[in-house]
Amino acid sequence: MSKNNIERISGRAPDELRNVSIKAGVIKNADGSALIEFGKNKIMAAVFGPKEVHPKHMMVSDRAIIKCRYHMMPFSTDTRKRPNISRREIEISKVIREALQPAIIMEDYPRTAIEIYIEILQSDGGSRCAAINAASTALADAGINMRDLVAACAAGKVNGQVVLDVDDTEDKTGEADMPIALLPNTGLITLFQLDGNLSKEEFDKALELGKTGCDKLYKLQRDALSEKYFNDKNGNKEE
Amino acid sequence: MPAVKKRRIVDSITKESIISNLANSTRLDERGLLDYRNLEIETKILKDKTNGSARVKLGESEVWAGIKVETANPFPDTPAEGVMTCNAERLPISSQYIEPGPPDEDTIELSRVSDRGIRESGMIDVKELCIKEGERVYSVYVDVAVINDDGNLFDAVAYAATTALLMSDMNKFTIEDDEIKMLDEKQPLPIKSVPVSTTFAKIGDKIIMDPNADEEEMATARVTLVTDENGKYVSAQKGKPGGFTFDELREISVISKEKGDEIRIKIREAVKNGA
Amino acid sequence: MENSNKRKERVIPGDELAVIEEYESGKGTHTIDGQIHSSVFGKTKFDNKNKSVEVKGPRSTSELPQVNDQVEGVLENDKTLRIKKINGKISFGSLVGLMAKTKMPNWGTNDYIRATVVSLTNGITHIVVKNDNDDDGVIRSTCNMCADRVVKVQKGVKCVSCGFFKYKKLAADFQG
Repeated sequence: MSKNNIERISGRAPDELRNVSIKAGVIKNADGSALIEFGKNKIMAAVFGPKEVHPKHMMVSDRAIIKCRYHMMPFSTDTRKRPNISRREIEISKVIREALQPAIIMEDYPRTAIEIYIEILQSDGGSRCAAINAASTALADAGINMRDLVAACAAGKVNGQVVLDVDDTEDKTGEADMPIALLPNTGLITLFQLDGNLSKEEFDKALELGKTGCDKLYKLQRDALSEKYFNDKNGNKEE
Repeated sequence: MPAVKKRRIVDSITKESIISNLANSTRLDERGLLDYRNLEIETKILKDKTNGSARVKLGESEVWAGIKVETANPFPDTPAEGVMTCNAERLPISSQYIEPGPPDEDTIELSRVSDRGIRESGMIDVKELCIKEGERVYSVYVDVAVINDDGNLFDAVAYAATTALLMSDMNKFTIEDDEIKMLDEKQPLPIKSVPVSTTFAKIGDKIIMDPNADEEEMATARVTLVTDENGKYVSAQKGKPGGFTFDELREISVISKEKGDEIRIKIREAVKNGA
Repeated sequence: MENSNKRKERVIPGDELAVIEEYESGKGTHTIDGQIHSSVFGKTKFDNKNKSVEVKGPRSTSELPQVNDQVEGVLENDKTLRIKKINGKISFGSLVGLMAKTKMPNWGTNDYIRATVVSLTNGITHIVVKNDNDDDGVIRSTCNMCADRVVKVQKGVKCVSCGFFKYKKLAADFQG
């Protein structure tokens, strides 16, 4: 069905990501932080912890608990978003937490809480995927013990063509959007959502395409971390 | 942002027997790994006040759905489209673990996932829900109440909402001299497709369908896939802090379609018997 | 030595380091199915003598106190210490240490004390003020009767206004 010559609105190739830049350690007071610019998305993630659990009854004696808040600033959308926490934000907070949780070695931090704050400063399509990438980088920046980084990317269908990384304008006209988060080393998909309309072949193709996108973001996260810790300290002595 | 809620308690002897049974590909209630529990669908249970209603019993899980069709002003960006909202509520009577108060994360997720399944499948043609462009449109409210929670509420809520919508009717209106008048006639909702939701859970490395409450609590990961009549995937949601591999998701997508077709026949039958 | 040169120096969480037959998994690493992976971002250190591998992260603000670490904090009551510093570094986690039971508590509530971590059993940070360690003990204190300033008198503290004397194990750098 899909042909390669169908032009995307943004002029990108079907398997091309938007411009992504990740910067680790942008907030000094946080234990770990990251800023991601994913197309027009501008998202900051900060990690605090391990710290005391509050309220106390949520404490788990053999592992840490993860708290995650996805929050959109009122000025981040086209029309002003009301500042109270919406149901959408609660759901996304939940799926992001569940996407990151398998990567964190929670058993190393018993009776504590690890807090992840995600602030959307400017939103475009695919903000939850961008947020997961930022949060994963921030967790690594904080030095939290992790089994793996978490890379996330959306695949979708626009004008009958399966494409990578659906942005806001494509999301409005497109037929489907499928965000995926992946632990690249273990191959485990920890975030998987879909809304739209996909046939079996398109479904498989979108999965495949999403995987390539995740691999690219994994590299970008690795670069962001390396840049922060090695380039400015020891120069490029090794490699 | 609660991270740990009041969690269901599963005693360790049940846990162990569920795991040892799964190793032999059996389950405690003698189902196969990919079998659904007994599905009972009853319609027109609340016919006095609602436009459509349904009761779904999936094993011990019981869910009631009621539909109200009212008229409203359209949204400014879609002047010729009607409105459909689906909301699910886990009542305090449904389980020892639920308390009254504002909905928690899980309820919001349940509500939003069931809404997405119906919305994205294009089950209701919102363009036909227009009475007068820019002034009056139909607004369809689907409200689902969970009466008894024994796991797999995602599917139970979706079936109840779908069946109730299929059974529902709405008033007819005419426009005379720029005035909207209600007629005494009723008409069915503009239904285009019947989406069916299927839910999978992963315990250890085994994948089971239709998890009951104990299995759901033990599962490391859960995924709900919604397919429509044309065999297209319209909505999905992964839940719980675990993951699936790519191969597992591909396998799940095939099974989801087969099972979805079986359940769609059951829903159609229930609607036929109720009409 | 040549062996270690071939190995990765900079790693990120999830990177494979070695198999457990070759090396022992040390700090900053974890094992999955017999493979040692890195848990943090940082540089690897292969210790070929002891056959162990560890990863040293560039920062350690997010670390929990380990056994033999020195922690400082305020005593909230006889038993719990609200940790403010771990090994001299400020900790924002407001974690709690549990004072080990002693015959005579030589400190009082609201004292700022330094103690040593002795065990992490059940995820609880058990701490103790070691009598033979000069660093351990009360650093800042107030009168337990009237909450006024105290001064060091022999092996204890004495209140400047009410004259109440209490024996306390003072740290070498007791500041009154």
